[in-house]
Amino acid sequence: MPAVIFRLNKLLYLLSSQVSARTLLAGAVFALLLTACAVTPEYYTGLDARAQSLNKNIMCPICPGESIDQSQATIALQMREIVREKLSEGQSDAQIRNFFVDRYGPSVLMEPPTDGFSILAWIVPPVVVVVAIVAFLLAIKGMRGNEQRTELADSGNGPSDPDNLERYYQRIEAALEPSLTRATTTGNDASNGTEESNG
Amino acid sequence: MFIIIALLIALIPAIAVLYPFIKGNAANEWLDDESSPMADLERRWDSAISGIKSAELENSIGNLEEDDYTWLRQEYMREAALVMRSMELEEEQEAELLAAIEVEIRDVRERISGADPQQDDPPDSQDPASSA
Amino acid sequence: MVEAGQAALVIAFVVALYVPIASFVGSWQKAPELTASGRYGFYTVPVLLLIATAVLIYSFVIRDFSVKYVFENSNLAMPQIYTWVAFYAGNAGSLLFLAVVLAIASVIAVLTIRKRLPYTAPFATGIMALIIAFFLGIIVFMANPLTVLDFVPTDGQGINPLLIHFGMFIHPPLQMSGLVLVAIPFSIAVGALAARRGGRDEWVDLGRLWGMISWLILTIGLLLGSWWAYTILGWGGYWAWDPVENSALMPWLAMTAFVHSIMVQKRRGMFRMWNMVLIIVAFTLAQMGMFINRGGPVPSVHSFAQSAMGWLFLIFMAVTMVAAIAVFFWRLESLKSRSSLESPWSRESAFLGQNILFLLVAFVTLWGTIFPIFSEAAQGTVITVGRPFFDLVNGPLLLAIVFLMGVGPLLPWRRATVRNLLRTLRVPLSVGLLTGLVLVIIGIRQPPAVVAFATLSLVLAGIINEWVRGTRSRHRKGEPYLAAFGNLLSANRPRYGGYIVHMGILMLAVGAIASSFYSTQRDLVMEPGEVASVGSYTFEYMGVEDRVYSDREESLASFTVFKDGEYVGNMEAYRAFYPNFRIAATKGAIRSTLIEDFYIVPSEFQDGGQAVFRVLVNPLVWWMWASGPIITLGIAFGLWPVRQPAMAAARLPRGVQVARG
Repeated sequence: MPAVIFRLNKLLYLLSSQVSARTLLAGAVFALLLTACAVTPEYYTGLDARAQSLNKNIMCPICPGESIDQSQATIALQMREIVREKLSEGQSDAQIRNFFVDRYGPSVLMEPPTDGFSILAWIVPPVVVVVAIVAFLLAIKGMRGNEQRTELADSGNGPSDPDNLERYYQRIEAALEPSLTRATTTGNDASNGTEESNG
Repeated sequence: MFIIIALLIALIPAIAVLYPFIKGNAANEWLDDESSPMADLERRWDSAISGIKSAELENSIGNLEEDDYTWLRQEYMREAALVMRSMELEEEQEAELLAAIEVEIRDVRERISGADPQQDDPPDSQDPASSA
Repeated sequence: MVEAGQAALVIAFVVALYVPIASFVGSWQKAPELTASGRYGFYTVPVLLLIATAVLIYSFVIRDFSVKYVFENSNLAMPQIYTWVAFYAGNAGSLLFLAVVLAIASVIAVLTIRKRLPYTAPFATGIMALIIAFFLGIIVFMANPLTVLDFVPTDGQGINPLLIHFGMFIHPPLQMSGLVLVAIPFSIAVGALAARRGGRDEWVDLGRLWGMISWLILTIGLLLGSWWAYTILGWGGYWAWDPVENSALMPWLAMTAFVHSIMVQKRRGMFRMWNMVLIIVAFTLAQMGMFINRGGPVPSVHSFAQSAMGWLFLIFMAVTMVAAIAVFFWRLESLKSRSSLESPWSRESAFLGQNILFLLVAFVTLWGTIFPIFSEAAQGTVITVGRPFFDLVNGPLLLAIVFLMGVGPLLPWRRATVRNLLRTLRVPLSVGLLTGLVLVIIGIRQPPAVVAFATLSLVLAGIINEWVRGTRSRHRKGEPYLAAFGNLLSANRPRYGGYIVHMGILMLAVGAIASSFYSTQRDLVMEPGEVASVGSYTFEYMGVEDRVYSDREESLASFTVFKDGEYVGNMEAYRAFYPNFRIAATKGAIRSTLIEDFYIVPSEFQDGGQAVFRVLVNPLVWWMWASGPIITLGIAFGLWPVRQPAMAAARLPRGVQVARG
């Protein structure tokens, strides 16, 4: 197992040094999201499965917000029976759905329909997501360098005056001492090479 | 009957609400100011210190590269040092201000006790300048 | 007795109106006696409300049905212990409950902010009092739980049978408390702004504390609600994206975003405006959640707007939002950030990205919940936006959030190089890909499930990797492993508390994903004595026993269950009918192990002895409920204060020892 991980490691390292890092990461995330967007899963392909997925999509007309799969009301049980009957008669999912829509109206389906005004229900979220991502990227760009620097009291010697601050450094280091720290601000410990950081 | 019960119950908040007026010791209501320069400096000190600690931790774990770590640590140390220096300046200024005020109070007292030995001076209350 | 309670309510209302006036005027006019007076008055509000609560509870206990609320929510047959549930079961009682909880918590909050935020405190107190005053106003004028009937009925109507379940003892109170407690960080933040004390992160420590407290309670409330739905509603699921659930979820999403981005403000003085907007949004959503979630006649978004009380709540929600936004724009200048973003590859950007994702989920949820109203207005037909919509649209967003949960903590504050990031990502990414591969090989093929599980393992690997590397680095400096691990955690409590919470979220996610994709569900018709099998379980339906109680008729079915051929026990499930309420309630039989839940629920008992059962095998559900204690532990650990080296100690010349107090 560790050997496999090690080899995969090497492969990824090679890959990451060839392809631009940014692209790789972006591609990975994008692919992830894309695959996750696959359409509603089918549990199995049998009649049982189709019945279940239809049941989960049809609302019980008198129960508040429950599908006929969820609800234990008599009418829900009857409707499940009807679905089962029609499935064994060989009707398609769409036909069965239309049957109920004819009887109870489009609100009997759990999903908003894709025609007419209701198409908005489906279109708006992805549009908003895209807009938000763009806004986020722009915000990242815009936030850099946009701050109100509250100037700390400068004795007029200019912002970078290490001599004057040196005496403070010692005291701060002393205060930090209890934690596991390295000795100085500029010292470089050779012991922490890049290889060791691999878990 | 209802009136009596209601009055009895109403006594609870009534006493509470009138207490500061009766006792009259609410003078230290705003003794500190969370926006005072000192308080602000304390907060910035805290974030500088925790910045140093995070940087150290992240570097020792390996999430932060050596160069970035060095740069960051310098930045935080500089921030902490500037905070310390500002605080010392702040305290100097405060001490000067207090000394100046005391001088003034003494002056006024002398003047008044020259004119009327009975009168008393109300103490000056510190009102830290609120930022714009 | 009842008069005392009513008097207490009215007096509390008056006091709650006095407090903001005294606090605001006192601050404005620099009159410390006034603000102190307001504050002391505020301290008495929970006392008064507790008096009213005690009176109500007492009326329940002595079965005083002359009190209308007691009549409507209890009866002689009700066991005393359900008095607690009856208290908040109805409209008026739940409002009183909200008011009491908010009053007590607010007073505790004021005690914490009093010393540390002296200028902010009066404004925060005033805002909290105004919110309480609103609830009390509704109670006193429209929904008084202590209203007395003209006559004394001999028996009450009884409590809704769905509420008689252990889960109902803790879910509604926690859920409602979580929602109402969002008022506290809101009041602190907006109060600081109003007091002109918000521009320098003064309120951030306490805002974070109370934000995380309310977040935790909201989380537990939601988990318990799902658990309750799972065990008592009998359809085998735990979340249906219905409007009531959604309205409780949305503030949780906003608060999750808030507790993360507030850390950026604490560390870097950034996101000042953003966090203000976020907490205002969170509180507005929490109000919506509160008003839709209370016990009583508001089960859906539609009926919400139809009652007079519903309109009042809407107006109050709008008023608080508008007022808060006004204060926000009034003090906008003071909210500019202290520092700026140095690199897009930093923890700060990750937090911002995470915030955006959470708000997107909240938006989609809101959109789906209220779209039917738009549709009805626009084209007259009523449509439903149900589970399939939310699963499809929110699913990828939630998965992206989980992915970010794995990558984000690997980013250091302020800046990182991409090369280094990829290096740190190597292990988690390989583990994730490997997991995906393994899953596909063993037969799990659905892309969303594979991707989801791979992501979860990536996140887990990332967390463990961090812990290992951290422990190793301390060990290299001379500590033995166990001590290194312990010290690593205790020296960085907020960070590692966060990791613990993330582990809890992983547990929740793995249970949710496994049971969403891989539940086995069968509806079976069985006769007594018949044996059936679902998954690796074989069970025999022993028969049904009909029992009649004073308030219900129950049909109890019993089963003998075998797994992989071995006897594992007997299980009982029932279906009950409550003639007074015309409700049928079911109680499923659940056998829960770490791997899966075996779940039987009776759908119908037919004449002739046959019965219809729904049988489910739900994998990994146990992990969802187990996440609750882990998350709580993580929050508690993360909130445990860390002592930084004090500036005072650092300023002393070297060699001078100071006793750390």
